[in-house]
Amino acid sequence: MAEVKLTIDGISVNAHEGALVIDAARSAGIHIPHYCYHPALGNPGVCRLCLVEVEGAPKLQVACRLPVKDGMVVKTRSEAAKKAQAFSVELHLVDHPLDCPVCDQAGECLLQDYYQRHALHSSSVREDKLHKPKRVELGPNVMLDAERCILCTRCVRFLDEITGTRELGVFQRGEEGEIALTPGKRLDNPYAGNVVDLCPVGALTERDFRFQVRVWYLKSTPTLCTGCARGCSILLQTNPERRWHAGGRRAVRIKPRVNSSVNGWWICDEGRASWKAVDAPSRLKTPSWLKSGKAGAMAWEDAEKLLAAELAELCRVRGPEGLAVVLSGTLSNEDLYAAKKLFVERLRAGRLLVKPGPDQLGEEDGLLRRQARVPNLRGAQALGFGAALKECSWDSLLEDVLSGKVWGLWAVGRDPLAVWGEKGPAALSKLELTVHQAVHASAFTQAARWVLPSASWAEQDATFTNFQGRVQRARKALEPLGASRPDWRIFGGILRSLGGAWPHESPEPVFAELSLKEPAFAGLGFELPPEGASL
Amino acid sequence: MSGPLFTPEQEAALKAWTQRYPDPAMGLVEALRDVQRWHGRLSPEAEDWVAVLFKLPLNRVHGVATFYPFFTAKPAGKHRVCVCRNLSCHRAGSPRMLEHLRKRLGVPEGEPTPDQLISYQGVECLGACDHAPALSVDDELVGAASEELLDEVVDALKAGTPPPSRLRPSAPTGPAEGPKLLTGRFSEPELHRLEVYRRFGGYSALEKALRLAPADLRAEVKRSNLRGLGGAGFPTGMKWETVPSKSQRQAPHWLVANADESEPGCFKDRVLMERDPHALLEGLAIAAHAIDADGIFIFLRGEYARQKRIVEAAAAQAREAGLLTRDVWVMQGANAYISGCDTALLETMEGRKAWPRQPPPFPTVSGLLGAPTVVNNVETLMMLPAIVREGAEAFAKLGVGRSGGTFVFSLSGDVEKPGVYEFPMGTPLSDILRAAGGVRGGRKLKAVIPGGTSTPVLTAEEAAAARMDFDSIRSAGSFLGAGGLIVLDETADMAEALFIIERFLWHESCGQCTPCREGSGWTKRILRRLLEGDGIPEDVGNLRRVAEGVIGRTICALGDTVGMVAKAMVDKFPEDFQRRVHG
Repeated sequence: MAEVKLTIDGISVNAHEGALVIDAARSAGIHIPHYCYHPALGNPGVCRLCLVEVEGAPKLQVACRLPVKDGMVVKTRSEAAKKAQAFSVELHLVDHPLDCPVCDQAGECLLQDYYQRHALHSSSVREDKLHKPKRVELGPNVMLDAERCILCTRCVRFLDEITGTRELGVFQRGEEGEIALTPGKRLDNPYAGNVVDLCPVGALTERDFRFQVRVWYLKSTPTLCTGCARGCSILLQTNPERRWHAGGRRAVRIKPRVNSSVNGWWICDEGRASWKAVDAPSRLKTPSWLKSGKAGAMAWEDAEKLLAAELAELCRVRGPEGLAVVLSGTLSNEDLYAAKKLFVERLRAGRLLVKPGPDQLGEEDGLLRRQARVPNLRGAQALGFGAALKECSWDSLLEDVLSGKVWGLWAVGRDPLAVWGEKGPAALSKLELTVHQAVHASAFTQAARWVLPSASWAEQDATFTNFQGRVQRARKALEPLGASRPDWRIFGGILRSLGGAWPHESPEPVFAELSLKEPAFAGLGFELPPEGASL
Repeated sequence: MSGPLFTPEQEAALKAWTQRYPDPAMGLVEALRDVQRWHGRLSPEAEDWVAVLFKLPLNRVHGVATFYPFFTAKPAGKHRVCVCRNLSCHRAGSPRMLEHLRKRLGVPEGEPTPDQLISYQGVECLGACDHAPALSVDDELVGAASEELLDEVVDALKAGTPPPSRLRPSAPTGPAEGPKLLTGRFSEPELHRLEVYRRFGGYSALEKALRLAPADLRAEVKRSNLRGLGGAGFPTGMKWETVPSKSQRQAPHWLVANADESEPGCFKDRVLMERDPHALLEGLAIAAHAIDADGIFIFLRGEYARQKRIVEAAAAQAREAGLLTRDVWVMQGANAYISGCDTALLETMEGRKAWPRQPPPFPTVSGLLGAPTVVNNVETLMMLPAIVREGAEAFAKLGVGRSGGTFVFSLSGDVEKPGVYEFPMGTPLSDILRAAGGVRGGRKLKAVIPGGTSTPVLTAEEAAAARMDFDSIRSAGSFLGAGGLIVLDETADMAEALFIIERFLWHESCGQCTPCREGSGWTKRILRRLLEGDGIPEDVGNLRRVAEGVIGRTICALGDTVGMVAKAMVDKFPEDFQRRVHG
């Protein structure tokens, strides 16, 4: 594609032929205000805010529909352009209710931002404002306030063009035009929440987030979603400043983070809601064991020592082939590496299972969601699981437990009882050692002799390898809840108690060792770029 | 709803709409018109049924159903009585007529009578300012409303008999002298019949044109200085030149006659089609040859039911006589002013909301269904036979400067003899006014809106000096538009006149782009407050500021209009606004 050279606000800018002035300006660090334009949803040119002066043009031009030309001279901040942009903001506010004090968008609203940056007028409106529906439940996740809507049509275009589900439309016309549900529909597709992110104002809000906490109190951590094998880039938003808001929860919201290699601009609603599990009441907080039918809490050092001793004894007496370890694609590369050191290299456990069974499969679609609801299946494969390291299946494992071939079952982040159904209790009664290492309590937690609390994905720095083979970083947004720990640390502690070598106290050196030892990860560093790096 | 939504005959009729045009969706608006007529409304079930039939997403169908004023969600009466409330009709007493209907029928505007028989409505424009206050029943123009006529209509509807027709003939057309390219034949009452039209030399120009190579024909029209007579005034020959040649692009080429005349003050296309439909068809055949069109569409505004029948009958005759060799489709809109804007027209034709497109590409390159499309106004097309017959030079010479030929002006408002008047381009406005008998009742002239309500007003002094051609009127600070002159006498209140115009523009704003949507609404609300006696000192300044902030910032010209007409009124008649300001 040919390159053209133009001047924007005195800066010489190179752009591809056919590029839009608004994008060329952005690449030069010049932000031209706009509402309707969105790089993923096109340029209908309806908000008329991105007005700029172009030398030789008789009137102002909308930058979002203006292709660059060689030698073009664009002024985004000339007096005429500034005046027009200011008046455009003013027009967008003519019928706006100005209810910022009770609007969740306040603080991240483009009406507020552009008013501050481009307008700062005193309102001349002496007329009654138009009234439209203020509280429309569009679906399970999204609420509409039609009075705040500026009819930029981003949401409609998303549902027409990206999901193809067409739940919304612009109905009626002129000043009475409004975004509303298509008759008979509800906004409940698996990606519905994206319309909230797309809405530049407070018209569409997330029902989970309404009236919870002001956005300026939030801390945003760039991390990744661990809900499926896609590993979408996200911002996890936590609430460290107003702990008494949002029902006392630490994690309060997830927003997509643009990553053209993985998820583009979007995330699915399942992933969007995954913050809820972080502070859920089901979280396990302390290591414990069952003694004479009673659960007893225990310090990590004691648990490590006692569990290691039990393991060593059983392996000696019954043989390591009777130890079954159920691992999970929810574990990070570091976790799985440590697990490999412990269970494969040290203990030589006879049965391993990593691949997702019915407990970890979901719906897949052509947009983002992957059938494997685990973030690191590809990472496990890269570490040899399922290949050099043979895996068993849930069915064969059940058979071997029932037939007495297996004496110990260590399940990490998964629940055999949930998979085995009614045969589960009989199987458990055959086992001498049961360990449940998990973030959340489930049926197996009640039955297991040992319970080891894992830190959640939000509470650790880690790497995951998505289905494309892209290694991405999760970043710690919160401290581990209670005494919970990253899984690699739990494995490392047991390994040490067994007399093995495990010098690592943080994930970075674990990854460093991994990248040296595991050929698939050769050359990669722990500090990955925001969009990740390919294996 | 119990039972099937539609009878088998109705289902067949709806299905036929999906097969009528080159693209199934093009039948959508007319299919929904049928449903509205049958059911008195568009129910969600009916919309859904139509969406499935047309294989279109429901949000698109519902968007169309809620966009066009012809469609209602709430049941309207079996018969719809409409009284125009726009400027000329308002001046002629439409508020009184609506009040009379309210008293007579005992229901508020828009609500059906308890027996569901009749609903009535003040509407924005019926394209019949010559019959002000215009009255229509079920899309058929009845005549100028009076209390007596309204009673007659109501009585007839209640008795189940057809409503009366009180249409005055659409001629006279001014003094006998002077060139009359179109209206010269209007003395002949049967002109709409092919054999009569042929007696006046009809279709001889087509014969001549077909002997010319398309390129030579285009050059001829370019030399004639024919300009678009639908409002924009773009040189017709130049527009045609921008159509890519078929060797460059294999897509079909379409020709569209824009008969969506909806500008308040303009009604000449209505009269021309009614009286002389073959001139339109001959013009279309000539234009189709010039641009090598594969098919021809005539798109009429929803209110022109009678004209549609006349044009369709004429087209059938011409086709039978072997004069029309290309497909001719006659389409009808659903009462949206904005459909008259060429790109919005194409959207309506394609079965969408009339949201104007943003060129480039221009329709001549990518128009109907993405194919090269020429959209020409009815009168523009009707001038073509004269150009071919008389020659480009003769046509050009009739006019002045770069505006060739004649123009059929529509006169209405406070004028003695409202109607259509054909004059050469460049004729002094005062001559045209005189031909129409001057200001009504011998009153003093206050102002003239020269080209329909979208054009800035001229004061009496400006009007006295104005010449009616595209360039002269532009230098006088207004536009020739579609030649709809609205005369306002000394009793006119310009704040009220502006309110009526801005209310219209607000009603017709498609809502797509912010400045027009918000600017028209804000302007209208300020004006309403002024009229209600609550004016404040900032109002006049705000009207001007909003006007200036909207002009040049919108997708189509409707936004410019919102600003330009307000600015002209406020600047030229400040006393009518200032006297309403208190405090």
